[in-house]
Amino acid sequence: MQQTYLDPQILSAISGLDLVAKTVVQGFINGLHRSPDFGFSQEFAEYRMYSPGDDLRHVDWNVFARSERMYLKRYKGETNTKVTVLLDLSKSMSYGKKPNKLEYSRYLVSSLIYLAVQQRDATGLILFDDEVRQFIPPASRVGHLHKLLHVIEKAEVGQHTDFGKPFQQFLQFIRQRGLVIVVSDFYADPETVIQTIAPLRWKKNEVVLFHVLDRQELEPTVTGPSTMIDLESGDAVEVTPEYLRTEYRVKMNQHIEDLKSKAQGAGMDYFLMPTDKPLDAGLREYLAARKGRM
Amino acid sequence: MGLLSPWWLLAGALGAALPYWLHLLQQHKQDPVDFASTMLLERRTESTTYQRKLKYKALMALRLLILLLIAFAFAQPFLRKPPAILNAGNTLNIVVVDNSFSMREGDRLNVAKQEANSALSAGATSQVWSLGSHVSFLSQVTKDRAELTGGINSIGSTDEKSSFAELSRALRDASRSTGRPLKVTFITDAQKTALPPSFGDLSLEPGSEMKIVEVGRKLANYTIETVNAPKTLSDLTKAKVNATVAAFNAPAAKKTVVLKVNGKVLASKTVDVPENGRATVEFTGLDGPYGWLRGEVEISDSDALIEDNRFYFAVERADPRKVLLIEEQRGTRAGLYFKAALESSAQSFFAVEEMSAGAAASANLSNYAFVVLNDPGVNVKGIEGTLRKYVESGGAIWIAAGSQTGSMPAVPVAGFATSGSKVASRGTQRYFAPANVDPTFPSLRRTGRLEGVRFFQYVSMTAPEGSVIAARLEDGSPLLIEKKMGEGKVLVFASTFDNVANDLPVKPGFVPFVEQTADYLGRVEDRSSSFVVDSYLELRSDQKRASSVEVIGPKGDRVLTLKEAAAANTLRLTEAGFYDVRRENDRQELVAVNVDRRESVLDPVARENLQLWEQSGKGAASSSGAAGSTDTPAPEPQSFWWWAALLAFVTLLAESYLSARYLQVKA
Repeated sequence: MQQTYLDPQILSAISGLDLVAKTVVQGFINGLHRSPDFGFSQEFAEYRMYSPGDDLRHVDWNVFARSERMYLKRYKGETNTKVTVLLDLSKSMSYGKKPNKLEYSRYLVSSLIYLAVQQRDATGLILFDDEVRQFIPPASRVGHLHKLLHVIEKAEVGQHTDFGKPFQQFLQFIRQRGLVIVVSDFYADPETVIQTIAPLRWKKNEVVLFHVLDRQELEPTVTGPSTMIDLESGDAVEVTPEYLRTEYRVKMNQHIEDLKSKAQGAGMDYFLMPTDKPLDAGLREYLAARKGRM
Repeated sequence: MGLLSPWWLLAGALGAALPYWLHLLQQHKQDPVDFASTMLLERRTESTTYQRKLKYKALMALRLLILLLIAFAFAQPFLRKPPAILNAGNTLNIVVVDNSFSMREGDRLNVAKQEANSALSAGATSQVWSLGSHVSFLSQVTKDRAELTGGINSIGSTDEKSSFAELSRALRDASRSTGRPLKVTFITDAQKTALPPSFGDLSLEPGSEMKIVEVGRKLANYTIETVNAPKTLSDLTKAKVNATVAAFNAPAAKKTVVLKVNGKVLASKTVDVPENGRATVEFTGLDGPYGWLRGEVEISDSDALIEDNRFYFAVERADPRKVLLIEEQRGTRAGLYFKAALESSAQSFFAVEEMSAGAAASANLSNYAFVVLNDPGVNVKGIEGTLRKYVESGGAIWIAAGSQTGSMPAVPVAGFATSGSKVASRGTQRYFAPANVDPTFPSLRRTGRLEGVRFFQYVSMTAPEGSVIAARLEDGSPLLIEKKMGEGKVLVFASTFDNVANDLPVKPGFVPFVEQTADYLGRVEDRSSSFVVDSYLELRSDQKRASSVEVIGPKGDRVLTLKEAAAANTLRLTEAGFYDVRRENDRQELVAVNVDRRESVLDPVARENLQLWEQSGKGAASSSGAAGSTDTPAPEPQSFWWWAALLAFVTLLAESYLSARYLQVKA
């Protein structure tokens, strides 16, 4: 079945992150063909016809004996994973047209948390800019989801980005291994970013980097020579359309490639999320990472 | 510098604010743009941006300039250029000698030439003019005294009439075109008749000086003022020549007046001319061969101005021209009346030839001056094509419509639709009276508007579009209709020439009606053969047709050059005497030209009036000087708005070029 995902711009018209998250996740789950969270626990979910290529270990031989038909027995997954989402609140995250990067990140993080709660994962949240602004430890109790969503909704941009300080604090909070999701625009040297985040990996955590960028950052278009003002530092740089069309894009692509290759080199998953991209891609990445944790 | 409409400049200044505001908006668009991070940006655009700003400024400046220049042009700027008189130290001396006809009196012209020579100042830039009816330039503007003297000596007497207004106009033009102050010396007999009706026509340009040297004096003079003679005659014994002898400032005297034809004295009469009055002499009978006769009426006694004692006239002796009267039946009463009326005139030049419609079929119609169709009916239908061809090739037909014509659906040849004959009833309306008679129509000039004529019967017809209705009856029906057909014409009279359908033949207007119509249709009055000097003779009636015209002047020389002979439409008659004009098809015509008799009046203008004329240039200068509270003429405003408009156009081109370049870079 072909799934039609909701455009981020349409999501921005929905008020309330819980509704956004629910809309995204329900739509996502309904469209899943073969979900990776099936088949790893003892809680029966459903039967399915055997098809060539399926693992014979999952065939219900009792049913075969009775009906001479091969059915696969399917089980619901276990939810004993801890998921911690780190959301960058630096001022550069406020860039972009509706939805801007922060709004998009809110949708993404909300959807991830919502999905994680659906999977019975313990879910936590850290908001940071140049230091940790808010920390909600992972938990799976009732009402925790609403707390998280409320915090995300109220989150406002801070000042500069500094991965060093908040990650050092965060390392102190990590008690057991789990899944760590970092949502940021990563305006820093890729080497520094990876070096800062890499210690999480040493503690057997699965780390996923969601690189959120506005389309204008990837492919900026201006009608004439312009003076660009850095939202965080306030620095002004005069640029020409020619430069933005050619050299800047090369540098941006290089930056993304560096980040990606260094992240993958450090055993992390990297995922580029332009703000005009449907959120299901992020959810898939989460599920893939969670599968790695099983 | 000044502005005739300064408000435009204010409007332009406000208008110029618009592009300036747009420019500011454009600059505003270049305000810094927020960007997530400049980490990956490099500054390398400073020079480009700088150039672009320069471009914008240049464009803005050009646009502002265009608007301001347009507003400036609309404000009509002008410069107060000092008059040429102020900045020209080189005065132009103009010596004008009057050589009109009246200067032939005594030794006036020689005296005038001597005065002109003495008026030449050594080393001064001068020019010599002569004045008749026109101004002639007899030398270049030069300091060469020999050339100037030669110009003066070349002045000869003319038969022209002097015009002081023409001189003033030429002086004004010279002053404006040269931009130099004029110093004019005018040697003239200062005839009173040379003054224009309005003294304002004599005014000179400010700063022009004029000095009038009078060489004339008041003298008694007798002249033949007018001569009336027939133009064309077949019977010279009937010819009557009337001459008027006039005395100007002259006492009563007995004058002997002589009639000459071709130089031969035919008659001589003595007449008593009253003091400052006129007397008339009548000669009866002329004599001479066939063709054009050169007639002269002359006062044999001498007086102050002998040349005006002779008056020229031209008479053509020719066989009478034939008129063809076509009738259904010969010997009708209408034919009789018509023939009698046409041949009874003393000035008559026509002989009527009667013919039946059947006999007319074999006649050569081109031999006839015109054709008369008396009550054409069925019999004429047979020759209608011939008649139509005759008209279209330049002939003329006069149709008198009677009862037979009324019985036909259309008038023969003319083709006017008829609706039968209308007869006045014996009741209340016993006749129809003419109404709406055009007295200027050639046939009806001396007919007294046909008053008192009663029409008992007429043919009702419809005049087609393009025809001329010269007279109508009181019920609105056309009575006399003219229609052009090709080169010729058809004249339709809605009644007959007898005294049955109307009583016109027994009324006094009948003979002039027939005579004038015959002259009109026979083209006798087409051209006059008497002119005054300076009038223009028409050489070609059809200007589109190429034909050669030859004119022999009074002195026996060819007046026209080869080019003029082939193309000139008119000839200016400059001399008194006889002009022999040979038109196309060897048609010869003799034209008598006489001097304008106002030249015979030798009364000079009062000295006070001449002084006023002399001071008209100074007066204008001093009056304008008084207005400017200086002693100099007021500066003349010279508008130069077109320069501003031209500059605006050039600026517009530059703006378009810059804009195009800018847009190209942008694209």
